[in-house]
Formats: sequence, structure tokens, C-alpha cells
Amino acid sequence: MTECCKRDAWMTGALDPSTAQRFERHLETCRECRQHLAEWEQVKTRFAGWVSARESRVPPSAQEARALVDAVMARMPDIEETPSRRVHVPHGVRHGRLSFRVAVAGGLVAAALALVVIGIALYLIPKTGHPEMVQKTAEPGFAIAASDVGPGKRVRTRAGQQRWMQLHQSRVTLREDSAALVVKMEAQETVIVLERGGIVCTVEPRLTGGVFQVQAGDVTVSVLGTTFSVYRADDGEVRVEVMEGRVRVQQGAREEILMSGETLVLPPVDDADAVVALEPGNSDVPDDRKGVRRQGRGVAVSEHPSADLDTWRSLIANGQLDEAAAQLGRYLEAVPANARVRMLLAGVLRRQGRDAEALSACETVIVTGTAAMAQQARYLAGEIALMRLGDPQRAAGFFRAYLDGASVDATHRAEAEIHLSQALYRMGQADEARRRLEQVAAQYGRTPAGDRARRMLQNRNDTTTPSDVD
Amino acid sequence: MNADSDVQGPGLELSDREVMSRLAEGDMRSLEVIYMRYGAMARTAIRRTDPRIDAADADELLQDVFLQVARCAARFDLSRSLKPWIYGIAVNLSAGRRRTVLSHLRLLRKHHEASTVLLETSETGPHDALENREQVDRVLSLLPKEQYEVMVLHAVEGFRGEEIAEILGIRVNTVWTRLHRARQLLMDALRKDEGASS
Repeated sequence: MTECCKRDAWMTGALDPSTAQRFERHLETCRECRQHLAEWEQVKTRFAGWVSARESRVPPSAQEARALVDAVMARMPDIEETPSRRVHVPHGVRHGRLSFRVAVAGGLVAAALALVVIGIALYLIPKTGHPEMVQKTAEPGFAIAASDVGPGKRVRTRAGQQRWMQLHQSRVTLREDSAALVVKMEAQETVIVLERGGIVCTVEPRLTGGVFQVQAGDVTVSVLGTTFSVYRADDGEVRVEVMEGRVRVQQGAREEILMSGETLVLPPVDDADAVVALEPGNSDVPDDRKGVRRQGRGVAVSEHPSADLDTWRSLIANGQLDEAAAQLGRYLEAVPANARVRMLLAGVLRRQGRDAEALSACETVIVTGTAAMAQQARYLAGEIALMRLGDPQRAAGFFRAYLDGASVDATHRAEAEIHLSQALYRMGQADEARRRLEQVAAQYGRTPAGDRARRMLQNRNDTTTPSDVD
Repeated sequence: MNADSDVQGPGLELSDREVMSRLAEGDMRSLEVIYMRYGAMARTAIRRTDPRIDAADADELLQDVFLQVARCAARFDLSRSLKPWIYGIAVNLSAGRRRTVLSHLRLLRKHHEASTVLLETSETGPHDALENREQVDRVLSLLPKEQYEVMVLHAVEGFRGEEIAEILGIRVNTVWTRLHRARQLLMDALRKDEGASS
């Protein structure tokens, strides 16, 4: 074998060091080999350029890295199958009322307690004893892989760790040092046994289509779409906190209405007659009831402010952005994981021109919010990155994720495609941008989105200025 | 709270070997560093192996990849390169999932002809999605899937022949042969195009 024959092996790094050295000496004197390798380098470079232009590679942020690692950590020793408790889930979707049940089964207490949860936000409750205060932390928790969530699977969290899982259209966050067994998981019905610790469930109100109810043993909670958390203490006491909306609590003949911002503590009961029903929205809560501290058996005092969405929206509508931002910020200091409120803040910050902060708020919502809310946040984050921060690569990442995500209606899909194309043009990936615009133009015909896509394509054809994308 | 602001966390200055060594000792913070270095690559590998995968499934597979990295850290040979190892895990897990999806679709196909769309598209190489475009697409489509694969690993990812062999589970000589053929095809096609345009 001549030295020239070794050039392909050399270029792939297949030669051992001494043979490679010999070939490199040969290379100094062989013009043909040098030309061959130079051509090869050219082909490689062009090929790499073609392929890279078709792929979006955005390095993960530190936040994403932490989220992934925690999910991985959580899956290493703790996820386990419990076949003996596996519950048969019949095929098909049950018609009728959407149901979501969290059974709270505590240590030595034989009778399980169940509570109903509606909600949007997450917040922290101390892990043992009476939760005297809500911890102030923005830690959103980490995702549990869908493959680890299903009937018969048990999920646990360690101290200092919280995790969330997506169950159809709801998001369930398991608080630190907690354990839950997923008993049933269907589109219309989800049952989770909370064995210890705390759980927060988030349900999109518009998707429930009816009462969202939790029943088990002593307590039943019905959810219509607000924020509601359940904590089961070691001694069997159950604590319910309402962040938005209104809750009706029934225990035997007694009934309590729990307002947004209030907390209900249910002492351990053996009777199976307690019912907690949650009603949507808080606009109908009388002003004199908002945030009022009430004392009485089974009712404790709220520790966090209520989410006064109506007031904030009114401030925003009147252009009082500074005041709105201040109030929203104060609320989020106390309840950092309320994704709906944070989304509102993101919008205000954007209008104030505080773009980096707005983008950061969106990123938090992407992690903490429900699927639908995360989609809103991706879209807004993409717009901010593209139009305000001039960061097309980041914008493209958000819009790609948005388009890959669930529940994208036709109008927003077209707009996101157009935004993504703008970002791609700015990144020099004109081929993909053009292809996407052509698809929008073809698919959306003579609609505003279709016209806009055609205009952009026309502008691109008429000009050589790469920045002119619309 | 800018996500990028704390990218410079502890560990980023360490070499792959040091980071893996720490991970093997149970320092899970090291996995963050590894993910920040190779997470995007692993995601790309997953998408290349299964171009039709949706975002949620890709996220899930990505978790699986780094779960495997964490689980196998103690057994990882520190004299090896980390990057091709992770790429290989991503390809293998993704290919396994794709096989599952394909076999499921084949079953469906027996009963529902309408289910064949995804099956047909999934059977082809990543470059097939680029058909009917311009010169680049034509040139890329000339490459058989196996040659495209090794070209991507070599030219785009910068892996050496033996690393590619390990990732794909083939012999180094096979890598070499495929690269050689890919090079010939590409160079011939480019010469032809250049000849036609001049």
C-alpha cells in the first residue's frame, strides 16, 4: 500500500499515531494528496453548512439544565412500579363530568382523605406539621418523564425537591418530601393517591367543561379552574389553600365558603362526609370578603395575598403600568409560582420596555405554567426575543417549541410561522424561511396571514437586503 | 432572572473527564454541566434519528439519555471521549423508540390504511425531507442514508472514524468505506453542478 492510499484513512482519523505521522511527512511532498484533501475539506465544510442550516441547535440554559438534572435525579432511585396496586383502566373516554381526584392517604390513618383542587399556580407548603407560612421560593420544580407517569406508578420527592407531571390537560406538582401513587389517568378522569406530603393541581378552566371534582373518604373537592392546593400533615390534618376563586367546604351539616387568599385547615376526621367544592373566578367575591381573616373551627387564616386579577387588569387597561407592575411584583414575591399572574406581569413588563425581565418572566412561565399557559409564554417570549432584543436564534427556539407544542390554533400557527421565518432570515437560513412562508402562503390563501407571507416573499425577491424581512 | 446569567456556574471550567469523575462520585451538579455541553447535540441526534418525533417525546428521550449517562457514570471509561458516547446513547434510544413506533404503525397498517403516512415518511433518511428543493437538496438526496449518517457524524459533529464506528455499531473500515463513497458522490455532484452553471 502506497502512502497515497492512506489519505482516506488519515482523514477519518483511522491511522495509528506512527502511521499517521508517516503519512503527514508524505503529505508535505505529495501535491496530489494535498489537493485531494483540500477538496475533501471543501466538501466537508459545504456539507456541514448545508446540514447545520437545516437544524436548530440552541444550547440549553442553566435553568433547563437544572430542570433536566432534577428530573433525572428523581427518576434514578425512586420511580418504581407497583404492580400489586396497578389499577385497570378501561379503554375509551368516559363521558360526563370531568373528574380529577386526589386521595390523601396518610401514614397510620386508615381512612383516606380526599380533596379537590383547581388551579393555576404553584406555591410551597412546609413539609411537616402545620404549615405556618408559605415559603417564598420561585423554584418551579422539575418534570417527570411521561414514561414514568401512569396507572400503578409511584412518584416520590425528596426533601428540598419538587417535581411536576403533566396528566392530559392538567399539571400536578408534587411538593417536597411527598409520595403519590397514580391510580387512574384518563382524559376525563385522573385519580392520584397522595400518600404523604403536598400536591398542587393545575387545571385549565376552559378545558374542564364542568365541575372538576375530587372525592375520597372524608373530603371531596370540586375544581372549576382556579388555584388550590392540598397538604396532608403527618397527623392527618389536611390544609387547603385557595389562591384564586372561591371554595365551598362542606363537612357534615356545616358549610364554609373559602375565598381567594384564605386557608382552610381540616382536622383529622373519621366521618366520610366532608365536601369541598371550588367555584371559578373571584370577580364575584364581595370586596368585604376579600382577604378577610376569619376565625373558627376548621378555618385558619390566609398567609398570602389574594390574586386580584380584576384590579390588575383594570390598572393595565388604564395604562397604570408602573402601579400594576409593582402590585404584581409584590404578589409574586409572596406567591412566586403563580404562572397566570407572572404571565400578566410579563405583558406589563413588555409594555414598559423592560424586555429582558419580560422574557425572563416568560421563561419561568414556560416551566411552571400549564401546557396552554406555557404556549402563551413561548409565543410572547419569541416576539420579545425577535422584535425587542434582536436575538433571532433565541426567538427561533421559542417559536419552534411553540409550533411543536399542543393547542396551536390556525391563526397563531400562521403568525408563529411568519415570526419564525423572520428569525430564520436574520440567521441567514433563508431556504427554510422561504419554505415556511411558501407553506403559509399556500395554506392560508387570501387571509391576512397568507397575504403577509406572500408580501414577505415578494420583498425578499425584490431586495438584496437581508434584514428586510417584512 | 436571565437563564443565561448563571450559565457560568461551578464546573463549567472542568474537563469532561473531571466532570464525569465527579458525576461518578455522585455529584449530580456535574450532570448539569454535561447537559449544558452536550444537551443540544443529544437533542439534534434524536431529531436526526427520528425526524418525525414531536417535542414532548424528544424531551422525554433527552431525559432518558442523561438518566443513562448518570446511571453509567461510575462504569464509564474515563480514557474515552464523552461526546461520542452521549451521541451514541441518544441515537440508540431514539432508534429503539422509532422501531417501536414503526412496528406499531405496521400493525395499524394492517387494519387501517390511513395510518401509513407516517410509516412511509419515517422509513426514509433525514435528507429525504429536503426533496424538491434546489441544488443542495438534490446533492444531499444523492447520498444513501448510511453515507449521509457517517458524513453528518464526521463533517458536522467532528467525530473520528473509530468514534463513528462505536456510535453506529459498525466497523471502522465500514465508516471509512462509507465516507469514501460519500465523498466521491458529493464531489462528482458538485463538479457536475459547477460545470452546468458555468
